Order: sequence, then structure tokens, then C-alpha cells
Amino acid sequence: MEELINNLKLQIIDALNLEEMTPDQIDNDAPLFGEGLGLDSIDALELIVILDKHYGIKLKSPAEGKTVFKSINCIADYIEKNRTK
Amino acid sequence: MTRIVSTNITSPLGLTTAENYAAVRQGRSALRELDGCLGLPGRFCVGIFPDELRGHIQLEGFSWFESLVIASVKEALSHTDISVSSPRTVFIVGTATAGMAELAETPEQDGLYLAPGRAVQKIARELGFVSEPITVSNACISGATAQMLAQRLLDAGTYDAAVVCGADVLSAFVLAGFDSFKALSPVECRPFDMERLGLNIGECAATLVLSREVGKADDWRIVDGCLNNDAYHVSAPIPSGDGVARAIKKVLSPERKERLACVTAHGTATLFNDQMESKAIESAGLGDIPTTALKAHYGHTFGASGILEAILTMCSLDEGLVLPARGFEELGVSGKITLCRQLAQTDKKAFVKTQSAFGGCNGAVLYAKEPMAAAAHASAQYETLKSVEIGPEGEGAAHLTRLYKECLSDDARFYKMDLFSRLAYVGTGLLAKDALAGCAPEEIGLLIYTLNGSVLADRKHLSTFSNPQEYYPSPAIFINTLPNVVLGEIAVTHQIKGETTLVMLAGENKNTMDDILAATLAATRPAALITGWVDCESENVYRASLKLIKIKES
Repeated sequence: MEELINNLKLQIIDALNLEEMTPDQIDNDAPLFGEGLGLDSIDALELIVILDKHYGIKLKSPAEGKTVFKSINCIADYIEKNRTK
Repeated sequence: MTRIVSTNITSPLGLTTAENYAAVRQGRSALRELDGCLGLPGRFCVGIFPDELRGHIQLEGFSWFESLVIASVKEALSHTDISVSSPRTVFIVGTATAGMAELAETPEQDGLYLAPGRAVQKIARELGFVSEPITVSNACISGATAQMLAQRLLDAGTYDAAVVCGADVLSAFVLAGFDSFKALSPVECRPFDMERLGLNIGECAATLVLSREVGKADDWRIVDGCLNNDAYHVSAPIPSGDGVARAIKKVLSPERKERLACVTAHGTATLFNDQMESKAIESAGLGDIPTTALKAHYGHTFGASGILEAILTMCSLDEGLVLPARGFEELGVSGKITLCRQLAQTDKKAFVKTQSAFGGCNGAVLYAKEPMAAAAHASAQYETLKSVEIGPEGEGAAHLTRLYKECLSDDARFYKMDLFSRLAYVGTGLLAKDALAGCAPEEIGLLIYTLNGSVLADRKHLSTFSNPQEYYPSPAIFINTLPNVVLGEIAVTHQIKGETTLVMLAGENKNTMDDILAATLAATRPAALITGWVDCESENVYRASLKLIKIKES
């Protein structure tokens, strides 16, 4: 799980261009949107691409991602249960 | 007031305005569901030219985009005696993506050929224009922007006639991009409907020939128009519809409103656009005026849509009819508006066309068949307050990051931008800093000129979908391929709510830039405007030359 979380953070930093940020600066339980990392609607769509590209999980819309994208831990849990690659 | 002396629509539904209007009257649609469309995996519903018709239009030695524009302009010109070889005639193209469709087949060193300004110059020469052509690229409101620019250049007396063509072609480039935004409907789109699932993409060229002098008493006219920015978000429209409502109110006095037959809405059938637009139309006081939306006949044709849908509305009002919004059954938006389900009769001869786009920009254009009193403009004097020049200084792209951090801020948004956007963002930031206080947001504008625009982001986007086995288009990369999106970034940061326009030229032509600036200032009278040249060829070759001008207190 720890490895998955670290990889996921690296993928998010890369895809979302979170310049000069390291995985340990992202809190596993902090909200990703609004407060915390302050991500927006385009970032939510990028998270959908990450799930598809690296884990073979297809989400149809950002609405579906609403509960999944709450925090790093939520995403990692979801990946564990649903990944196809 | 600008007269519309001839029109053309070249689309999958026909090669003339008459053919297209007849098809729309019969309720026909160009939309089809296709598997493996343009080499992309999956199924898409698109408005695409049938092979036979496309073969008829395609010219040797020209791209599909160029061929389409040439076909539309030639047919429109065949109905008038306006001379393209007069230096008093200007050619303006409005396009969101121009030749990107061909980017995949073009070697890197030929990148300049694809620059929209260069493609339009090639088209202009083929058609015989002698004046310098102008390309505006304001994403989905490119059509409105091109028309307003034409009207201003005619009003300013810079030209006597204008040929304005809005055009965009269907490409894997755009399809993959909107797919990554989860904005595409798998079936025919349903504007404003409860069950709408998103937009369809279509392709079309639509042309207006405009004149200041020539024309008949019963010609349609472009009466007035307003362009502005939400200053809210680069891709999401402001939920209140404030920008669109402001644009409509600006062009509609109570007297003009009385004469309105209908509103032809943008109506893309995405959840957010239609909801926002319904709020805008209601709050602009047009809730009880018939509203129609025509995207289910063609899909969203981007640069063409503003002109295409205006021409179709003119044809229908000529017959005393308001067209139904195809695909609409049950209202699925919260703004109280009157959507047309069926063909309706009217004896009024004026309408408003609204548009909205990525980059936060909006437009409303008022058309009428009879003269309407134009608002008188007092002239204003301007002075340059500050100017800025930026180049790589031997540091390449890192120079921009350093400038940004040292002089402006350190917001995460900066790192999401492509190089072109970073350059424009830093350049305008240096000018706007501490200089816009005291100006109303609605009275601040942006007018940026470029050659290459977003070509670096274009190539990056291409790499995300060119292999069907590795099909992962990225919304964050795609959004940077629309070169006007940076205007949205700048507008959000500095709360600029006036007109924001991106013009693409074949080179840094000072005369053309001065003409556009003078006509824009005379027509919009902003309190402050940031304008100038911004161009990126590579990480090591880029230049911004910008100035902040302000109105002189009399």
C-alpha cells in the first residue's frame, strides 16, 4: 500500500505539474480539492486519466470521481479494489 | 451600421446557404455515430462531411481547412461585385483550431506552415485578396470576434468591405481533446434538455460579405455586438451567467428589445454551458422571448458556429419563422427561458446571437433587417503608461519562471501553463501589477497578437492520442492548445472583465496591429488595455513586446 501511495503521488505531481513538490509534502488524508492541494475541475479530469492510464480503471465522469477523489488514501483504496493493471 | 450583402454556408448539409437552410427546415442533421472515427478508439457522434462532398471541396496543394474556407468564400463572393483585389477590402477568418488537423502529418521543421496566420495568408493569396488578412482565435467565440472586428474596421473607415469567414474542421486533435474533458455526447446532442449528455463536434465554413456602403434597403445588418470575459475560470463558465448577461444588456436597449424575434443561443448541450446560458438569458430580461439553439443540426462547429447559426436565423426570419431547437423536449436548466420546441411564426426582424468559450470569453451580437439607431461614441484619447519587452536572455524557459517568482508570485497555476501562456502571463502581469487600480473590471481589456500561438502545446497534445493503444488525452495539455486560454488565466488573476481577444497574424505586421488597436479603442473605449505581440517558437526563441495604455482624462 505504501508503495502504491508513493507512486500515485508521483503520478499526480507529474500530471498536475505540481512543480517542486515532493510526495511527503502531500498529506494522505487532506482534501485534494478546495482546501489542501487546491485542485480544480481540470485537475479532476486529469485524475481520471491517471486512473485509466496507470491502473486500467475507467470513470465516466468527474461526478463519479467525487467520492473517490476526496484524499490520497481514498484514491489508493479505490485503486486497490478496482485496478485491472 | 454594417450591411450583410452575401452569405455562404459550406457544411455536410450543403454547399450554399440555400441548401443548408432547406436541410435545417426539413429537420435534417449532419450528425452520425461512427466507430473508429479518425483513427481514434471508441464510438463518436460527429457532424462530418460525406466523402463525396469532401472530394468535391478538397483542393490539391491545400489542407482540408484551407480548401473548406476557399470553397465557402468563393461561393459567397459569387453573389456580389465586391472586389477582393481592392486594398479597401479586408479578409478576416475566425477559427479555434485552423490547420491542427494536419499537424500529425507535418514534420516538426514545417511547423510555421501550420500557424493559422500563415494558413490564412495562403488562402487570401489564392482568393486574390491584396490587403493583409487577419485571423482571430478566440475558441468558440471566434465567429463573433471576427464579425465585431470587421464591423469596427469598416466603421473606422480603414476598409470599405470585409469578407468574414468562420471555419473549423473535425480532427482527431479536437475530438480527443474534448473527449478528455468528458464533454462529448455519444448520441445527437440535446440543447437545454433534461437528458442532455454533452456536445457533438462538427465541421463547417460560414462566410459573410460585409459592406459599409453598397447594399439594398432590406439587407440584414450587424447592428451591435459586445465581447467580454467572465474572469472566473479558464474552462468552466461562471454559473450566474454574468458575462453573457452583461454582453446581451450592452447591445439591447429597451427599444431594441421590443423588436427582437428570438435569441439564437450558444446551446452546446453541455451541462454547464446550457445551465449558465439559461441564467444569463433570464437575467438579461429575455426569458419570455423565444430562444432557439441549432447545434443538433451540425454539432459544435467552433469558429464557424457564430456565423453559421446567425445566417440560418436570418433565413428563418426572412420567412417569418423561428426555428425549433432540435433535440430539445423538456427544460433541463434552472433559468426561466422560453425554448422553441416547434417552428413558430413571427413578424419581427431582429435577433441576438450569444456565444461563450474556453478562456472565459463571451459574446452577444445583434442583427436586424431594418436600420436601428446606433449609439453615438464620443472619441477618446489614449496614452501609453508602461511597456515591457521579454526575451529568453540566454536562460531559455527558465527565465520566465525566474521573472515570475521574482517579480510576481508563486502560484501553482503558473506551472500548469504552456510556454506561450507563461510568456503572455508574465508579460501582462508585469504591466498590470499595481496599475489597474481605479479601473472598473468591465472596462479593462486585452488584445494580444501572435504568429505561432500554442504550437508547442499542440505538439504535446498530439503525443497523447496518436497511438490508439496508448490513448490518454490530457485535459490539462489540451486546454493549452487553445491559444486564447491564457487570456482567461490573465483575466482571472487581474479581474479583467472587458473584451479579451487573440489575433493571429502571418508576422509582426505593425500597420495591421495599429489598425486593429485603433478600431478596437474607438468601438469599445476601455479605461485600460494591455496589448502587444507575444510569440513562442521554441524554449529558446520567444518574445513579448507589450504595453499598457490608459484613457486620458479630459
